[in-house]
Amino acid sequence: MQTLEILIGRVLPFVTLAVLVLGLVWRLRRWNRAAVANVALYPAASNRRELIEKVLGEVAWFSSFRQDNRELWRKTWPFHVTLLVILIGHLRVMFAWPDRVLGLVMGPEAIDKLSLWAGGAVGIVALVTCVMLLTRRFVLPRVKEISSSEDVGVLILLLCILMTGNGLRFFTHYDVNVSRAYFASFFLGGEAPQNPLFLLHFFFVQLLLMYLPFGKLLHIPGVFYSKALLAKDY
Amino acid sequence: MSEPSAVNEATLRKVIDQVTAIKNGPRVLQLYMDLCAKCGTCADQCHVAQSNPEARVNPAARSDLIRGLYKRYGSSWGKVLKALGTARDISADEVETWARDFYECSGCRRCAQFCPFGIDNSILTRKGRAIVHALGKSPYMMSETQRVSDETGNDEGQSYAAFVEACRFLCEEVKDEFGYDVEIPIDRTGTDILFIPASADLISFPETHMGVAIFFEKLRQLDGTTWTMASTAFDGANFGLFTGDDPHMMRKNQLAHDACIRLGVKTLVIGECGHAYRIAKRLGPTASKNKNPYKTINIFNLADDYLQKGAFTFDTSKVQHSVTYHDPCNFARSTGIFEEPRRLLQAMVSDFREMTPNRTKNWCCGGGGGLAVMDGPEKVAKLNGTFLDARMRAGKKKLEQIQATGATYLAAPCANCKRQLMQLMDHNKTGVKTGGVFDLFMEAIVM
Repeated sequence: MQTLEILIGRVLPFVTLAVLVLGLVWRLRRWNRAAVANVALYPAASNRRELIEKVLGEVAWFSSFRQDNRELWRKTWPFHVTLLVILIGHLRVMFAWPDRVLGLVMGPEAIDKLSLWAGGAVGIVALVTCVMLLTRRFVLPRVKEISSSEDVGVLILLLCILMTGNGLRFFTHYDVNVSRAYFASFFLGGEAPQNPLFLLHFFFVQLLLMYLPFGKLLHIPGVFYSKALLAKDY
Repeated sequence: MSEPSAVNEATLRKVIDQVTAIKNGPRVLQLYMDLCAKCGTCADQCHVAQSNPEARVNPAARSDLIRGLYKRYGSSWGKVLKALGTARDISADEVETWARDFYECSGCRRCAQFCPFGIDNSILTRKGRAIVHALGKSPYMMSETQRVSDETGNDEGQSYAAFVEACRFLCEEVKDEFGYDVEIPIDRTGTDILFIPASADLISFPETHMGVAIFFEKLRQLDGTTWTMASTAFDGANFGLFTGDDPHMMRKNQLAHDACIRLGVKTLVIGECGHAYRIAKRLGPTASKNKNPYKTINIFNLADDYLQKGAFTFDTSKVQHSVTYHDPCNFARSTGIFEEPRRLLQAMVSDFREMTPNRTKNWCCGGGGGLAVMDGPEKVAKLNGTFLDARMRAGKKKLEQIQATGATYLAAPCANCKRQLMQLMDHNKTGVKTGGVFDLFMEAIVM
């Protein structure tokens, strides 16, 4: 366990951080430096304000296919929204300051309750919708024929992350103070929680982060670029 | 140029070089290599995929023809990506069928309208076609039309004498049928407008051009607006957009630009031709917003301006049809012409019926991307049947839309759409007449 803790908790995170940051910087630099052609799709935005509204609207609501591909929208919109909420919720697991901010409007018990119920609910919704997205890859012929090992693999990796994360919440007594202490001394080589489920969860998360700049998860930063290209006509 | 040739090592190398050039290519292509998450939305929204269950017509699968090679040869992780199933080795067999595969997409951009990631597969289709063209494997009609166009300045290969004669004949037809004296001026300097249609309007769809001549005569009567056509640039059609041959696209559009300068016009007006307008407005030398001493607009913009001022009086009883409107992809999704033709039609006819879906979500006729002019196998390897077969199959969604309106006249202001839809209506014995918007202007206008 000690070896795993050192590898996953004190060595790999620095590799992950380097790969993620350098990979994204490299990728974004390439996109930013590339020539831009007018490929506007109408009706398009004719000024900056319209462009921002259009792109943010698309990204927030997945509006391009909300009306016309309800089957996908019902799975993927809750999936992405819950992942975002989970990501925000993890700030509380990693740092103490979110509790201090929330403490301005609610008491410590209320914060714990919110974390338990809201955090628990989004964890389950994310897991269920992830399973649904994986299932459609094998069930829908038009999706099946274009799915590769990568498409399935990423969803399985996300499933692993969600299952271990939900496991930590629902089946172990997880003390956020331990992980907060770890992240507070992260750059000084602080000791990671010895919980094996945590280490597994953390390992899967790091795999995902290292993969992000090189595979289909690039749609997370890329969608802002591509939607802006189609929306812009000025 | 289009003769099938053996695919050898040098050819494969050429393909790989062109694909990996995307690494330093425009942002849009780089993004499309990186972003697709294979959600399948494009297949649901593609008229070709909806009419053909084969996996290869799935837009994401077609784009993967390029993406798979880009990932294999454009990345130092190519072999790893191959193991993950997102990259693959090039094969002679697949390159042999690229002409078929990339010409099964009509480039209508409907998939881009719905794609969660903002991927416009038509841009990758055009990249694929550009590679096919560079290999000398474009369908015969495509490369032959470009050759004729480069030789004569127009896709139909009309001579100066034939052009002048066609214009004279159409003026006589207007006189005979409606009793109006109209003129189609040629090479007149100092006019307000240079008008460029698709040259097919002069031969295949003369009613549209007659309607345009009456329209300009009406403008002359209203406020003295003058117009001309140019003997050196009377064809806005431009197959460079379809084949991915940028130099050809620029050469052809340069003719229009040069004519505008030579004749000293204030405005270039493009007629009922979607892709001609897209190039003139967005892609070619005539598209420069700030440098050109003339502006580039479409005939619907012009007509709508006058309509809004109440300049026209129409006798709607003269149009004996219930009319529906087909949004050509290059007018609607690619240049934003949505309401202008509708307002005209609603003013001209008493029974206008909207088809569903419409505007940005309109289904392609099945003849876009230059497909409408191809009937035979066009020397394309492993094509299943003819292009006509494929087009009639791909028109299924459009056919359903049109029939649901119960309209007897289908207004389709684009030479490609007109040809495809005329054939589609005949093929399915619908009895629906297909024509332009200005065909109806000719009938309904009170001079």
